[in-house]
Amino acid sequence: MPIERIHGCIGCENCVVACPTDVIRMDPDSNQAYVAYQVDCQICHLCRLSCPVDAITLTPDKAVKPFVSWG
Amino acid sequence: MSDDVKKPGQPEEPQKSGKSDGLTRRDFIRLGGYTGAALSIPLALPIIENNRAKPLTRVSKSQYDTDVLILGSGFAGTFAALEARKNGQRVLVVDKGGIGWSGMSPWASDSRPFDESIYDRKEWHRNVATNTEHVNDRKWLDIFMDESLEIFWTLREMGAHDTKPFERGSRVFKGYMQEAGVEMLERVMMTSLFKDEQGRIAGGVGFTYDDSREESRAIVVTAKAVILCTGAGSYKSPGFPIWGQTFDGDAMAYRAGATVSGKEFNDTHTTFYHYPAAAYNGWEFAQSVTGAYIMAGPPHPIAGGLNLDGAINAYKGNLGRQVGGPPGGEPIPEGDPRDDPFVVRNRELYKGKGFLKTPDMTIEYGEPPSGGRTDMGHRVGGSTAGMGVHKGEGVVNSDYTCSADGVAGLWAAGDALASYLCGSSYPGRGFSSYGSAIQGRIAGRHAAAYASQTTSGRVSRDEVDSRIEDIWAPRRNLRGYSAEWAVEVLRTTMTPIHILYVKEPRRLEGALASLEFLRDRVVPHLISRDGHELRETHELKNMLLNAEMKLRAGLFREESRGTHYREDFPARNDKDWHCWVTIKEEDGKMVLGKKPIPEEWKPDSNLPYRERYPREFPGEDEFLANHPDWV
Repeated sequence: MPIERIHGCIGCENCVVACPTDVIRMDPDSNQAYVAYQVDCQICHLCRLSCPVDAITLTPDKAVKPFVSWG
Repeated sequence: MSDDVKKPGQPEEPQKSGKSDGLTRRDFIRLGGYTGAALSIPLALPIIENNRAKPLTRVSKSQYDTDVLILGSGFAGTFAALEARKNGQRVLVVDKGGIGWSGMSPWASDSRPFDESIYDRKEWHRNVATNTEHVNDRKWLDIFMDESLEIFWTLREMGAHDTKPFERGSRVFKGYMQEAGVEMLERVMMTSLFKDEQGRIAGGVGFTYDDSREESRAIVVTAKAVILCTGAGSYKSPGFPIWGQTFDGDAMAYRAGATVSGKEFNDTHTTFYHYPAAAYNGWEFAQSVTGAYIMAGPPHPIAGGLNLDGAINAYKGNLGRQVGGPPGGEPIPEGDPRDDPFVVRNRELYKGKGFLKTPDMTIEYGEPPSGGRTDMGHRVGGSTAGMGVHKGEGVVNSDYTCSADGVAGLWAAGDALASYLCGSSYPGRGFSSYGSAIQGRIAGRHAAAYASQTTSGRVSRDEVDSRIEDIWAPRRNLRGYSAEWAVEVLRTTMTPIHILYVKEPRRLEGALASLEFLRDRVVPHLISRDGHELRETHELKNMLLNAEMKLRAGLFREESRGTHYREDFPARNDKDWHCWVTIKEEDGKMVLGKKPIPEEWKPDSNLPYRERYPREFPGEDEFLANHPDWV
């Protein structure tokens, strides 16, 4: 899956705000970010780039099978 | 409705949805009561039980009042907000994602400011018109050439050139808006606009979808003027970071009675088969998508843009597929696009002249953030399927003020405005972000002037409440279709080369019939189990409306031009189709029409056909031989 793991979250919520597709949410109990809707990840990396402590690991694996117009 | 609501104050941190704000009035409306079933069935099935249906007897509502409501916070939204604020109006910016993060602005790369001291205005006009096949709006191009250099210096002064592009919005733009006293709401999806008793746009409704900490709530904004800076959209195609954009502005404007245009033309970005949307996995490529650099020189008259060449090439069977290799597409291009001979030649030609005297025009990012270039697979097409040509699809405006024709109180800018700055295909890099900034500024200025002379009208409470009920309908449905499945059907219906890119009436009609089924039989029965899925259902509705427009516009324009290729009419027809195609709702029906383009913008009929239209469609010469009146 695109977001492999979130490890070492400090609860700043930057990634939640940066994600254009609402993939990441905050767990209200632990106050840590977690991947709530992986299938909507478009692998844009904005969560990872917005993270001040580099807690997010991404892979290029798509949650959605590529379906293209030609080729 | 305007009593006891949020007043403008000092700039404040944008509110996180899901948090109680304390400043806004809470009131409650009654919705029908249902209880949920308790079956758990996996996603991706078309019909599912809504095991989390909500009784929703009480939906909380936050209400805001402002002068100018701006939807979207990219280049267009930011410049609109700052301009409207400068003109003394209260401004509220609402973004579906985070301020400065959502939409396409984090990916905006190139700019092409026009410097009168080194460039030839006539050459730009000639080249853009030829490249975009003579349906570009020359007056908008003049406005671009008048103002783009000023935008360049403004961005430089703001520090936008010293920031990584993906942080430009969230750091630079947001900071300037906060300083100017612009109010902001993040992670709110607006779904519809409402009017006052005089028929003027008077605000909009939407909802917070993040229900991690508290239930989603309705957002109602009353405003004297609304500016749509909502960008474009795609069918969430897995090839480009554009999923946040789902034609929300076009859809809201159309439903409010605005005319839209540009739906028969397509964006043709490509991607890599093994790495769709993995924007940073090839750093050289990443620099080309995210590296803010300045295009030197005029646009190319034929090449250098986002045209239909790749699709036509595939149509002819010239794919790069090899036995045992990845499926189709072209081999990965070698090197950095900045090394393109045309670009290199221009860089040398204009070096040290005019604004290019300024040093440090490109930002170097150093090491790639996630490994180097790996096997990205072949280059494949349609990665933004559904998206129109930048600046070419959206709300129609005829007087260059960015106001929506025929709808008082509504404006649009950037990719939400059908300005046709770029005609029927994107003529080469560097027009989009500055075009958005310029149009945002114009929209902000005119909307502010309008708001300053307008008093708030009366809005029917019942109308607003019924729109809020519409928002929540999928949350109450117990059984129905999942939006995820419907998006998949929409995507697979529209994306193939033989629907969007190589058109033929039977295929377009077939796709239309499928979408009409979705529209009539599926949409009323969509279910949402939480706020996230609620957002998806409303995005689906907007994407579906866009798809219907694209198919009908594709059927309507009985010629080929730019990125619109019809197998049955494979040639340009200046006599009948040197026009823009408009779409408007009349008596519940989608009605298409022609909007004339000034006669003097027609290509010179004394020129040989191939000089007017250098790119050749398959079957064009044969068709023209049989239709001499088209030449």
